[in-house]
Amino acid sequence: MRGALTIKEILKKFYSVHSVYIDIIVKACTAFACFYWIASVFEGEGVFANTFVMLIAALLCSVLPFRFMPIVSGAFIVGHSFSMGIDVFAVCAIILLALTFLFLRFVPDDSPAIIFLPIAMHFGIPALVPICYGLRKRPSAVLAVGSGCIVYYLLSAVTSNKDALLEFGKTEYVARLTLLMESISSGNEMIVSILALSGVVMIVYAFRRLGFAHAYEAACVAGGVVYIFFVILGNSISLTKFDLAKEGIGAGAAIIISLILQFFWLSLDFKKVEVLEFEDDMYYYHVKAVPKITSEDFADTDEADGESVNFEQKLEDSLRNL
Amino acid sequence: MVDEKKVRAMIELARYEEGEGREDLRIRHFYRGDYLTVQLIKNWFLTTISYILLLALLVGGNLEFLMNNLDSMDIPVVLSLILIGYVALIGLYLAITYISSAVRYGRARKRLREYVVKLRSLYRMK
Repeated sequence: MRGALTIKEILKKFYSVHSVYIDIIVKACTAFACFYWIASVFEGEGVFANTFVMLIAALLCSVLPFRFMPIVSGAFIVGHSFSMGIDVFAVCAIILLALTFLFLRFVPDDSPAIIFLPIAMHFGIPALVPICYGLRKRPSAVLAVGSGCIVYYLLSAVTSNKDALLEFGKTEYVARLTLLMESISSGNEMIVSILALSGVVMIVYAFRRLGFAHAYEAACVAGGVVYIFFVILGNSISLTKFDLAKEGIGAGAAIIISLILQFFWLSLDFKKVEVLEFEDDMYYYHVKAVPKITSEDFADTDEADGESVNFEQKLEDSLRNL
Repeated sequence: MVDEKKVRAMIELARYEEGEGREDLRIRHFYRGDYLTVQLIKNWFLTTISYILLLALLVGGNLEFLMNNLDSMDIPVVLSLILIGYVALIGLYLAITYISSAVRYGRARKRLREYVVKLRSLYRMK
């Protein structure tokens, strides 16, 4: 624990000194990873799959606010889909535009979820993103999380039907569109996933607002459990075909990763809770103050154990008090 | 000599102006009614575009079915269903926009009042 706290403080100090450069580097790396993932999903070979173009776009994102990254990622998705045909391009562009106009404009700060969630779903840890949003954001983040889920199923429908679309030929628009729309709307997986991930955001938010000891950690665990519950419910009621073992491992991994992230965001010492009560003309205040854990707390404990008590300082303090 | 108290006050004001104050200062130029009207018109426009785009996608995806069953379809019923869907969507979104914009306007006004008080106290500092 002490080692982890020391690492955390070293990282915090390092970040406070070099935050300008770290922000730029992290944004550029994240953006490049997103663009690279999109290119790998589409298995594209066009201009948008060019590493040089991806690097330039990532550099552009590094100096722009974080909310521009999903916009550029959306442009990459539309660009890749254009190489598959004008109809695929139209479907992707229309769905992304509709999501932006109907949902994302209400929650512009949460919009990175539309690219982070598909990546998390691709790697089998879908619960991670809604748990993080529940821990850090407000319940309105369900709009961004739901949109991210739709984007994942859109990409999945486009890429899984790539060969079938090529068989039709590029001018058979009606047949290609019918195939794509059927693929997007077939099955209840998308609806069950949207409900499950939205439920995770709400439950995690509700748990962390309850304010009991270790509420944040409990919220992470509750998020993973709720996700699995929804998946099992979906499999039994709406006949979806989620692989329960895979989803279970993914939810477990999401809980572990979110607990690690939570440790770095905020670690509280519930043994030293102070309850303050005071009043003014208008209100009576009942304040619960929870101190943060730092590595210095452990240093104090070591000193109190008796090995390195500064007797000289104690003597000086006593004389001063006299 | 640098007045630490004054610098702190200026930093606080500058942080507000660069952060959420930017939007608040833009909202300041509108009366409440004007602001809500602009938001509602903007929202109506974007929601209408989204509805038309999604409808076009739905028609495109089911074009074969529609062409085969066009003769047996009751066109007025289909058109009225499309219209009811549009009115329901617009109604829902306008209600959400009205509530969220009114709340945003109220909060911005409150923050601006605090900002002006702090600005005045900074001006009075010697």
